[in-house]
Amino acid sequence: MSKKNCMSSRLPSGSATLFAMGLGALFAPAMGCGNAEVGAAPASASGEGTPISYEHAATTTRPSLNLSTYRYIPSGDGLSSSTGKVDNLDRDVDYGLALRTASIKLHGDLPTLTDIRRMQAAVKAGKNDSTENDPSFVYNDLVHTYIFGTKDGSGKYVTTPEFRRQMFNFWRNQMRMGGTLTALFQASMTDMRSVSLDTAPALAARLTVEETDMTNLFTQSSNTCPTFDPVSATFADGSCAAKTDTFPGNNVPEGQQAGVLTNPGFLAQYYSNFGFRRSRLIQEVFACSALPSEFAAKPKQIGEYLYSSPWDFDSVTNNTDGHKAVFDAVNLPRTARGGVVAKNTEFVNFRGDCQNCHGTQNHRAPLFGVFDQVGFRSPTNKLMVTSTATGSPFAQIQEYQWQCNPDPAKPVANAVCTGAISWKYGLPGIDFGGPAVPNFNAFGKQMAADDTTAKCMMIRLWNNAYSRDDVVDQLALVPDAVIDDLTAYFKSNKYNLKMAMYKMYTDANFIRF
Amino acid sequence: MSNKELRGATRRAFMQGAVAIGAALGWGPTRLMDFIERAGGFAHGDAAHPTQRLVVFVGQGGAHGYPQLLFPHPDSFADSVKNTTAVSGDRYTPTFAAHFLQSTGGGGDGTGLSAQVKNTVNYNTDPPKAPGKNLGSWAVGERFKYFYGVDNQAFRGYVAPNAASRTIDKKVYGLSGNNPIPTNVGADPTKNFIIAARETPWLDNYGITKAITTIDGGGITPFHINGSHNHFVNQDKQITVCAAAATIQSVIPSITPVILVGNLVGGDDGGDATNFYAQNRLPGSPTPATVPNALSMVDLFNSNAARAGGILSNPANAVLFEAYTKGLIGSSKTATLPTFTRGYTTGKLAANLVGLNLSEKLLPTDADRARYGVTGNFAPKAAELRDRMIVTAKALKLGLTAQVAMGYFNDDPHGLFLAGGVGGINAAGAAAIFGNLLNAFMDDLMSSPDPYYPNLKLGDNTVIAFVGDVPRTALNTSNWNDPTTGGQNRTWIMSNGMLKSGFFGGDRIVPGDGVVTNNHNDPGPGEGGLWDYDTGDLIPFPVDGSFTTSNDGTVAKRKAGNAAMAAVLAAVTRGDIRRVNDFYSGQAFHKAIVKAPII
Amino acid sequence: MQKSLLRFMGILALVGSNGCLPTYDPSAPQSNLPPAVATGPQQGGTDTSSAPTAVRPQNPADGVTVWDQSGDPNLVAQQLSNVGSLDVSARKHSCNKMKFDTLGRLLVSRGVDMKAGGTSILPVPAITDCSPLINATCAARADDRLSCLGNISQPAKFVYCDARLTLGLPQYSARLAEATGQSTASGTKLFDLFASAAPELVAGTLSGAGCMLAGKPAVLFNADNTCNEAGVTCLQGYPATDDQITLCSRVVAQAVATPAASVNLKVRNDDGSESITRTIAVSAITALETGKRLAVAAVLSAAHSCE
Repeated sequence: MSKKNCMSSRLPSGSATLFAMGLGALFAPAMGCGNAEVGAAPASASGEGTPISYEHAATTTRPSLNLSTYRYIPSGDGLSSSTGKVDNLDRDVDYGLALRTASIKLHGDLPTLTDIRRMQAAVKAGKNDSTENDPSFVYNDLVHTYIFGTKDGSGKYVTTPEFRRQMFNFWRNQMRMGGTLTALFQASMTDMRSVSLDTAPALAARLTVEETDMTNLFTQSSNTCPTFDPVSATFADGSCAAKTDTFPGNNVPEGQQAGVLTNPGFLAQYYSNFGFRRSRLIQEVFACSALPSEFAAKPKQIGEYLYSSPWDFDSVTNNTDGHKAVFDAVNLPRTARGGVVAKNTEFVNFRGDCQNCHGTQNHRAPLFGVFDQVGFRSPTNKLMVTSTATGSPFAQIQEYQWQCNPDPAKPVANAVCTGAISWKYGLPGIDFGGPAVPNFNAFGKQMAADDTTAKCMMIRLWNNAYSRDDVVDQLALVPDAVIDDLTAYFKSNKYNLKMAMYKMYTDANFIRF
Repeated sequence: MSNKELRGATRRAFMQGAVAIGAALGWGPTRLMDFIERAGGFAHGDAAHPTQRLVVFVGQGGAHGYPQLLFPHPDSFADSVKNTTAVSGDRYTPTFAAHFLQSTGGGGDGTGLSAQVKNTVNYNTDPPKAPGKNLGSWAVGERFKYFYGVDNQAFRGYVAPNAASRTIDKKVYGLSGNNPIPTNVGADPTKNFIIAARETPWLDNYGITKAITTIDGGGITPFHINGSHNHFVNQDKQITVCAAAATIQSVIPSITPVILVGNLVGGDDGGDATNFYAQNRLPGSPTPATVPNALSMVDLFNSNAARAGGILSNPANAVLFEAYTKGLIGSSKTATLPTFTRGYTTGKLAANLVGLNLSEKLLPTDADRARYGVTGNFAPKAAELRDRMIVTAKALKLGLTAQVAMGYFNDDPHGLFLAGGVGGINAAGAAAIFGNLLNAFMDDLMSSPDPYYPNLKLGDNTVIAFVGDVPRTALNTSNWNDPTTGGQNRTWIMSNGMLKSGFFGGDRIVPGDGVVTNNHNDPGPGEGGLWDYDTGDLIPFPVDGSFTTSNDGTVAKRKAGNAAMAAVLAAVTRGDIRRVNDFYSGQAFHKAIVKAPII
Repeated sequence: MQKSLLRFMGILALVGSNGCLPTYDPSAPQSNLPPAVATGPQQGGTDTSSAPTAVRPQNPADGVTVWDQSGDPNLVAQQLSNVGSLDVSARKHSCNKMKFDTLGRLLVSRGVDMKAGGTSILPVPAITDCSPLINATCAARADDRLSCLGNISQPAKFVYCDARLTLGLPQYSARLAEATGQSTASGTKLFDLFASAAPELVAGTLSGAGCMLAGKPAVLFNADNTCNEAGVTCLQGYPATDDQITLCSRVVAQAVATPAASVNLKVRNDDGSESITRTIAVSAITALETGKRLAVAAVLSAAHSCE
């Protein structure tokens, strides 16, 4: 029986509509992304490759939400976002509960009895005079102390150790990493090295605590691996390039780092075939939606595929004419860990249905693929993530993008593939390959300039404040109507997370139950 | 019937069960009475028509293929010679995904695990002689046995459109012209068979009452999930067999009516164990306890505060704690906020459980593990399943629960039929592991009376069902691919004789068929179909392969899947179709499938 | 109004009961305020009414929109049926599990000993050895320690440490965040932890820094053995209502004594048989002391089911 690896001719009823609504993931991967072309020509050692299977297994990926146009209808729901007046007779206002939950989130403990009594006294007095008799004043003051701390001798606010610990743990949870990881170094079969999984959360926490522009999370070029002492609750400078015998660092020079994006711990934690897990986590953690994450204005029916990505169809490697990966077994052999040469030309066939996600993935992941299992960049910028081809050789760039196929006339070990990388379609391409340190920072700047990442920080903050689940894993969605004003405030205050936090915790909505 | 109307032996049996539970838990009379009342009163304890308990094995992430090893579809083995030492027959060959037909390279040697797993066999050589009971002893070289006397044979009523396949049918069944394989209606059961491997559980020890009923239906979807696509008794309404059965089982008093183990996820759309169970789709169904693993199962009933010197060590105080904790939760301002409901519901259940300290009674011991035939932790997935089953058996014996749904393996075993297998376990090794575990599990249940129906052995009052996201094709070992012939799912049920034994629908090898695909929208290899709701005969899939993804196919599979789960309910209720129909609204299926007298 | 009355009667029934308690399970909150007059839907702008939150009835179109956009009909349908539209539910506080680290600090700040050898055990990482935290009786011998731990109640710090995975210690090695929701197992262990901590809190009279007021610890029980408002408030982390104090006091009054126990500790022999190594006498606890401990445990459990 001949194989049909296509989908649209047998699309489930209504799936076209779902694609149009950004639900490609429900069906795109479902169609057996990149399934085997059984019966294809035997693998050869060189030349045009052989398409192979890449099976998504046991995934918990959720579809993209694409909620940007969601409309908020305030009438009738009694919860206007512009609610301003605080009336202590409003039975939905409960300063006691609000203080408790704010203290737990910001202080890591219940409020002290002293603070509770202070709050109770103000509620009892019920004034609106910005004094200790004004519950709003007292509540805001307590929350301000939780977030900003108290003034030191010079009149400068100093955050509390408790808040610093909370922020560190908050970011550990968001990034799902902490502790230390030990894994194989570069292409060795035996050389085990270690990497801290705490420096990325520490960087984010420090940016938060020190009221630094949070977009530095993607663009900070040096001192990006600070440490955090949980006992003293203090941060210390740290370079991701710093190395010891056991901790090799990331091999990216200071000044060319890109915040968490080049953090060796982050890269080690999410190591995978092709580095797709890294790029997926960057999308989910910092942009708050699952793949597919990019959508054309209108999906197109291309042959048998309903295609919704803005990237040109067939912009990534697949088994159609002109889009196949080509290998140069002589000059660029496919080597696996330990130096074993994989003598085949298998490549993953990113079919049309795969491309709804991989149009994005394949333009991001290679940039992070040059880091090995412990987050150390290959000195020659060789891809240190494995391919799914037989023998698990390290990936080659043409397996992502056919445009980067080696030039048989000019074999170069690590040729530059111009403009192969970008955060999103339409942004300037960043070169891949060549001997120079890749421009990670340019990628970070593209992320930083994307409002989605700012909104995502607000969503993660919101869900934590309101004791809600994860926005991606458990679909604890926060519509634009709810979060837009906060995002705007965050941006207008130079991405100062503490200020946004204060606004969120003192909002009239937060004190209502 | 009111409580007081229960008389004689029935009442005594009921009370014996309740008192046994109370004694095990150290309850005083007050709590015991409360326990009985919460169960719905005496009337529901009618031992003349006991409700069965239920254990659901959920093959996560493609692991639902493993039951194929233990309960292979028999119709590929319909044979004119029936040489059980041969790896090939009229229709079957080693491409059939059965471990007992495999060479070493095909995963047929399980002896590499012999230090930790009992009863491993090397099928690459002539498998050795082995003793047996109901199945008789195993001769040297004997790979499988035909077990006759089952009620239904899937391919009855079928006329194969494929010439090569038809030729075999003619040879095996003596057919002529266009005559179909004789129908199940009026067929002589002594000519119906299933296949028993050495590792097939229960048949050897307990005979045909523990024979399997296998029903095809429900769909498979492209991505593997840590849950199931065929556990709906009404998929349109997302009513699950677990929630429906738990509602039915509310007549059985238990501490925790349902336990979901192993981070199960929702059927079609993800979510967590809450969505797998979908309590919200069936108001009134009991709240499940959700735990990630065996140790957490024990933790449900293992409180420090209930030990000597603890404040809950006196059961009277445990009752007080439960009541006042619930009262205080109810007195909080957030108690009626919908967004707090989930957390508070869990809290109220926890308030009850915290008074228990049963760790010593529930924790797996080394002796248990040896008895289950899988020792050590050489493969964490096998060790975890073993421990889940041990704790489940103990919890059932203590009457702590009426239903357990446990996920297992989650390993997408494409490479099972290779020498190294998946995660160090190949096909023969996996068969030995599952066979050992399921046999020991049943032996445990058969060694103890049902705590609530003491006239019955627990094993004779517990339905076992296997569901999952995809059963994988049984017709080709290459890459052990996902797609089945018609994209249909499969449920295996041990009903304690409440359902007709044998296979309903399914697929079989077509000679010369070279289909190897892992595209979920392609038809899998072989030929097959669903089943007739009146006769149990085969309803063939269209030959053009459209059934895999067509709307008609999807609907038909859903209906058959719903009926399969309704059959599980029929087994749980022991034939009470009216009760089943409280949840199932599809076409009547009982004529074909239910063996118990319909009530 | 009728519901409020019924709730009030429910509380009365509980307060006046004599032990037939397990069926009391009120689902509604208490409010001492008179019911507000409904003023209809708000139209945006400032919030000037005291009206309760008016949840707009579901418009089917809303559901379809959410359904389509989220792509998860099962989850979203549940959310719609349970908590209202996304706009509404996203603005509401929800109920997540108390974070594991927070739980440890909470216990310390209320006065529970979480030290080993004079040093705080917090934060407790995955690799912590919990054996130094077991009580002296069980620590005395190694051979019957497992039997001892399985039979004799241990201090809260041991429970916190030993049950850290159940209580939610994040599994970063598996790339997982700390679970947000409460599972039955984590909820049960949380309550177990509070029940194990209660004896210390009763004995220590809320000596933690969080319960100090003008340099003095909050009083947990009055001279007449009723619950003191300050103590309950501090345990809860928010002001106690009269109903809550009354309920607390009734627990104290209704508890029964914990009888003395004699526990045989055992070891398993090579042949699989068991031998008794020693017999531990566990002292009785008076009904009053038991009641106070139960009251503290119940207050903590109810208050901290959600963070």
